[in-house]
Amino acid sequence: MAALLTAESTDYSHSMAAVKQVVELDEARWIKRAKAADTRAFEALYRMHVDKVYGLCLRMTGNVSEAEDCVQEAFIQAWNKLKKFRGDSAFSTWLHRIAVNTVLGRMRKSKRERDRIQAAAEVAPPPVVIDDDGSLRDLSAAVGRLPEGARHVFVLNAIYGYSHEEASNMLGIAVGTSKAQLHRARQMLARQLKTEGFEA
Amino acid sequence: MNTEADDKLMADAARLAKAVAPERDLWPAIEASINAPRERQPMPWYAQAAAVLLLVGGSSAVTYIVTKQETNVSPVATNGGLVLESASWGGEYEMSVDYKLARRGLREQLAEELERMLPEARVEVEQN
Repeated sequence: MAALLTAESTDYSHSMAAVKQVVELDEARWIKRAKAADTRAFEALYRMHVDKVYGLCLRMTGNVSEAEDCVQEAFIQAWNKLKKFRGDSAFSTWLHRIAVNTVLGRMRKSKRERDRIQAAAEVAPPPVVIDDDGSLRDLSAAVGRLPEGARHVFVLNAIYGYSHEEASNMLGIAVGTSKAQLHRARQMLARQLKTEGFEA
Repeated sequence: MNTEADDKLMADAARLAKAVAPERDLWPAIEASINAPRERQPMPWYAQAAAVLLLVGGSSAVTYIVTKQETNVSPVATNGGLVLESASWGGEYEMSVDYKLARRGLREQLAEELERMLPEARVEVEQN
């Protein structure tokens, strides 16, 4: 790691790849320790992944407190299932899958989805990026107003970059349904943004 | 929606923040939960089903064995084709004196009643 920090190179891609490798090695070590019931190691994993998991839950639920509950439930489930994690997929993907299942399970269980749009408008601050010119803020808000099915597919596919196969697997739907929902989401977003005066 | 606009939409979507820091630290609640002593897990459905099957099967087997046991008690009465057999539930069952007396009384009463009946009626009763 020290060598990486002092290396004089204008090609940062090598450095980034190396950093990623170090992080992954670190992650593997934490996972191994957490599997041996080390809660400190699991906390390290939590700190490494919580922001992305929370972002995913927030985009899927559109509700801050619901997203917080989902994150907590997802990490508790992850702790309980950790011994079953074999490393076939990236730890983050495994964690996201648990988070998506948690969101879907909670939505099925509760009827909060009915009130979601109103609640989201009241409490969920749209996550933005640093160079946001306002258009992303509009898009973020518009995503939050999409119907559940279209929103979930759009969040996983368009925002988090999961393939239709991965997204459909996570959501428990057919690949064709995922594609159709994405198409629907795009059309609805384009319509919404056009109405609001923002040309996508 | 044209392709260019669609591409821009997807490009913008990819730029949306993926990582969002929660407004509060969620770890303490998670830590409390995973450190809490585990509640006894409810028995899974298949274990419950197996337990029920075992219980029903075991009880049926015991009943079968007991009822199939050979009994030393011979038929207690034969009366015009009417055969009173020993109780089905136990080959070793010893009947009390009171029970035997009561049974003998009933048998005598039945015999008297049968004697008084018309032959057709008696046949019908015995058939029943």
